[in-house]
Amino acid sequence: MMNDPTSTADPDDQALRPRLREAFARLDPGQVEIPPALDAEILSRAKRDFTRRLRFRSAVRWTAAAASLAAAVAIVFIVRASFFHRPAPVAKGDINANGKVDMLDAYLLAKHLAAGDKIDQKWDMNGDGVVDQRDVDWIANHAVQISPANGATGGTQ
Amino acid sequence: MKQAAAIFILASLLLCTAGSDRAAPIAAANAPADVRVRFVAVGVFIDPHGKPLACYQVKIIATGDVKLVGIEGGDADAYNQPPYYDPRALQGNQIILGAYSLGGNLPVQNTRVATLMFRVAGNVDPAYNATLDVAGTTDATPIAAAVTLVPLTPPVRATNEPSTSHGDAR
Repeated sequence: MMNDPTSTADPDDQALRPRLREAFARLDPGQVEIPPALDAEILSRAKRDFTRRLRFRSAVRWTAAAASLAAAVAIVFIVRASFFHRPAPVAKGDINANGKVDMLDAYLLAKHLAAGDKIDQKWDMNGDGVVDQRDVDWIANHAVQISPANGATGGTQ
Repeated sequence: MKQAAAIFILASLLLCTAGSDRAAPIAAANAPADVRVRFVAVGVFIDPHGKPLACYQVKIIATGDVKLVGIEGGDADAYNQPPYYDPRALQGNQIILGAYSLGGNLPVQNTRVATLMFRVAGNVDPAYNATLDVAGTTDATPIAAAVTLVPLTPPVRATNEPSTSHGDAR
């Protein structure tokens, strides 16, 4: 059963409706003359607001598109870097992995050996199965080696 | 017949020997008399600028009629033994020296870490150029250091030619 929106239980309210209608009727001045200047001003403001809103929406759309594109490019680069980029191989004897075999590497390995640190088996330079002073000497001798073709070249890159 | 052949061979040998004896003074007379041959000791100094010098690697090139004939250690306790070097550098004019020390008495100031012996021939003094490949401190990180070469003694002359100059170390 639907309720009648006009019906109300309040008798005062029922009595108010006709009077309200009459009051509104008395208030109606009939045809209101709006000055053309005011009309034009209202239209102009409405157009301005509308254009501003349109521009704002357009800017938001373009910004979102640009951000999406930048995010896509960034994702592609990150994925490529993590999946397809392989780290440069470390040269034999390059203990500190700085791209050169020099006396710093020999010193670093000697220091690890002297301190009794955990020794990586890949530091077994002479391949005798043991990482010891002979491997330090191997690195040091390699670092000061003279290339026959180029003369004194020093640690290999 | 055999006696004649033996006499002929003996006579030929005597003549050859006599000929060579005459040839030797001629060759000596043709040799340039003013070629000076001398030996120069050059100290390799490294200044680690106040940081302990735990290791170093230096490249040295000598220009001129010069040959490297010996390598010795330096003054500092940590580097008083000859450094690592490639034996092929001997009799050449360039070498890479390197050494490290795990000892506690590491030099922190300008110190002679090695000594090079050169054989120098000719009247032109050789020039020596040193480049520091790397110097490291106790945490195995590179440090800024300066390398210099300093002639240590007046040259030892191998001939009787007068000589007062020695290597021009830079």
